[in-house]
Amino acid sequence: MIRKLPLFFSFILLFAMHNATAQLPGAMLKAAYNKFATVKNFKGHLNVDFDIPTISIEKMSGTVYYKWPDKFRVKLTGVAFLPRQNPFFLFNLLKDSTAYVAVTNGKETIGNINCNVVTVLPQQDQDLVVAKLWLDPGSNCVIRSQTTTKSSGTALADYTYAAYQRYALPDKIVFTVDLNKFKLPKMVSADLNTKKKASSDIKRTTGTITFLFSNYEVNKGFPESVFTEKE
Amino acid sequence: MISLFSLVKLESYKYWSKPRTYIGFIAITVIVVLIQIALYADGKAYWDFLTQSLSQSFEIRGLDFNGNMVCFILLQTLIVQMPLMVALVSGDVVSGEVQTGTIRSLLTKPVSRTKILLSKLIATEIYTLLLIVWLGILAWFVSLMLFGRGDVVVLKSDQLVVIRSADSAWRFLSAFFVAFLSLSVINCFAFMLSCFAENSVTPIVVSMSVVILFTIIGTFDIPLFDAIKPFLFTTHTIVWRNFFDNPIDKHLIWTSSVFLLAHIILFSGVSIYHFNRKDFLQ
Repeated sequence: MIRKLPLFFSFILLFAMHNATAQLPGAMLKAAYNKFATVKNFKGHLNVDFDIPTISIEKMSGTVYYKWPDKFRVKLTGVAFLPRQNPFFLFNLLKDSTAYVAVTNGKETIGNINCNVVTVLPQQDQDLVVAKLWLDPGSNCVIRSQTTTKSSGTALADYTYAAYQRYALPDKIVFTVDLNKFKLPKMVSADLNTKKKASSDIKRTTGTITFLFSNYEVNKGFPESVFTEKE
Repeated sequence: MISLFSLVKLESYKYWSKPRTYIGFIAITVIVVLIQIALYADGKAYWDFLTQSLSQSFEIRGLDFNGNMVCFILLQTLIVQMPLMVALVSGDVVSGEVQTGTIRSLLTKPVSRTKILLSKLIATEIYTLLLIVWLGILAWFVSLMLFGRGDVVVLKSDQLVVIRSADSAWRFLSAFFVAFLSLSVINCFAFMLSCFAENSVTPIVVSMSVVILFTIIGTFDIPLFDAIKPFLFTTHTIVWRNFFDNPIDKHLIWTSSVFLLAHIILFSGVSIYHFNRKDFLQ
């Protein structure tokens, strides 16, 4: 009997480890959510930089507004091409741990951060189909997200944090967007003397939109009307 | 001795007495008003259709029709047609007088043939300038009043360029100036043909045909045509559009402007040379 004790304890230990690992993705997502949950609203200055092969557009600046749980608005003057998804919409899903299934996908290094990769599958039928999150185990911040929604397709976003990391508010988000081919007949565009573009530009099938946030005002409130005002 | 100014006044009077001189102005007015009404009513649907491939990837903001965008569309549409309006009038200036015989009495005046021809050419240039000014008033100022200010979105065959509203006024002014230079080439070309012809129809039809043919060649991406394109003046007459590039290809604009200017000088020179040697007694 005594001989069998180490085997018994080993079995108990393995069972305990298995349970701990199984809880890990949910715990990681909860930690990321808890960090962001301290933000009820924020306002900030936003610079938007575009690097899209089919669109030539200069940098823009404006104001960004967010209000829990899913109100988000970028106020800019003039024509702008923005990502279709609110970059903070996932936190609305993460608030209820029964609303999704989380599966761990191991680890992956982004920059110098060894991230935990977690796939999130919503339980109920909603716009989000699947999300993959790269989480920094040290700061509990989302470093990268890849979301697939019914309405907007797949979007990739890379987050960089600095001064407002304690709120999980990024200083920079780089959205990578898949591009559809943009082609107009020359008679429609009346574009008769344009030189052919460099082959590297033609081959690019993705574009990036960079959001640079600054002067955050967190939980200071602002009128609800900013979300309904016409630009 | 009759001054050049008096001759230009006389030629302008003859010019503006003809009903066909007003065809261009009426045509521009009708086309501009029709397009403005159409864009006012269905402009959003038109843009949504043209940018639908981009709207699948992005949320497109602020793409409402504004005066600057309407003006750009009007310029793009009309500058292809305006050479025909210019040719219709300029092609008749000398040949019309040859056909009616009035050129003979005009040449009996104690004025050099060069001066007579220059006065006619200047009168046609004034007409061309007024046509562009009229287009500017209708297409730009009226559109700004109707649709308001905003960014210009330029649709190219494989790219979309956004020009900010604050950066657009000087581009439009430059574009109108280069458009005037471009129309002047057509004007001088039709004028030159008019010096060679004995009737009004031939120079008008020939100059219109040449413009249409060159424009068609310019639309095809065929290697053979690609080699010819740089030598066709119609390739350079659309250089006004390059003011709406980002960044602007200054070299291309300069090269094309010099090319256009050289054509104006060449066509005018040939006209003067031939007119001075032409036998009007036969």
